[in-house]
Amino acid sequence: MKMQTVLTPSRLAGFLLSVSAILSPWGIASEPDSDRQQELQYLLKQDCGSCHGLRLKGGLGPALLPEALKGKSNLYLKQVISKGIPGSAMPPWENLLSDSDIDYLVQLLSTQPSSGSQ
Amino acid sequence: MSNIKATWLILLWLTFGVSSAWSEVCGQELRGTGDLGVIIERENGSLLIVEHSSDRVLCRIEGLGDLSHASAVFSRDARYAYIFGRDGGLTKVDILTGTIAKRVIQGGNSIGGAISQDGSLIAVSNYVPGGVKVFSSDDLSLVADIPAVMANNNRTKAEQSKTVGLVDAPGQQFVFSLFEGAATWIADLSNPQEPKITKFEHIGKQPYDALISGDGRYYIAGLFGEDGLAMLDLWHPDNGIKRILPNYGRGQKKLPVYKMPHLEGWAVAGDQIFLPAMGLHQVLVVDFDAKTGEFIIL
Repeated sequence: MKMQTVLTPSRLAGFLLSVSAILSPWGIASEPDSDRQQELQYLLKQDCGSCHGLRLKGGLGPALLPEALKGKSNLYLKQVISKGIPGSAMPPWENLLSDSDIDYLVQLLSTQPSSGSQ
Repeated sequence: MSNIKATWLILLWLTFGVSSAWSEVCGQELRGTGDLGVIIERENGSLLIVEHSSDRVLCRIEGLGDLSHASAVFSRDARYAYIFGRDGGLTKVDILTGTIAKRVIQGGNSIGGAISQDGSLIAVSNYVPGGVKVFSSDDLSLVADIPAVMANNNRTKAEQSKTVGLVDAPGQQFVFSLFEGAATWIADLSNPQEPKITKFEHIGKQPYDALISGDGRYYIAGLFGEDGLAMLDLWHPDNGIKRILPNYGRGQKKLPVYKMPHLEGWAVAGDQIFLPAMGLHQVLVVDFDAKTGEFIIL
């Protein structure tokens, strides 16, 4: 997965949030290393995918493809992954995933290629 | 619930390096299906036909679409596997010849299915558009469309509930539950052209799956949205839904549920039923008296 360096306002907000929430000993937001990134990609497919579909086309949970996420900010996505949606089947993941893990998942979701690529 | 209802076959098969280890032998030997098995290759959208007497792969069948939550039921003669795909695909596979006998896209997003007691009907449970569709097991032609339009629905008329926990029951019946609709429906297809639907409302919030006991008598739906389970005695449907184990978990702080569990008939062993205790991260072992329908947590 190539890292995108383009900063949109929402991405900047997510970035700043991650900086404030998790600080490395050097005071810089840490990013998952490549092994962890692989694990998170697997988690997105197999664990998130158990409800949202292995291809993220939706299941018990809604689709997470670009069209479905259109208009939803990275900050919102981060909030939903961290805290879940009370009353729904979406659990909070903040006890299992670090802040930078969640940032990375948000990045994976928000930088998916457009439809038709599956 | 019957023998022809397959166990879930949601297996991830590591395909790398395997393809060269066997040659395609489906259809080349005269054989029965007694030692054959079907492995769903979820990511690839393909199927392996295997035989267990000498543990080998006979052939791979491709082109079954999105099998990320696929399951299978089998025809009465165990020649055909009916594969329910995530993308609404329903595929009839001839496991003797290793070929696709028929394939239809019957919905947008489906969760599984069942085969009727006499083997003539295939029912599919849909998330999109919701409801249940019933097909001829012969040619997969549509026999009945049962939209799960929710009661007391103030929104658009077209809005349907996702359906879960679809099982076959004695007497050409299918039983299923409505996730958003908080209901259990019995569809009697004794006359396939005019399905007779019996609805039980307010069974509890967000039924997520269901099982039917091996004798075909009790249908039990698990609830995600509240404590307890909803049980229907199919011998006495007039008695309505009975809430069982209503207090388990009550008063305790709910733990997050990271994976919606299944509730299946094969979790019944003798007089005991194994149930996921939602929000407790536990399994309940329940002593079940089939005569009285009473449950005791062991």
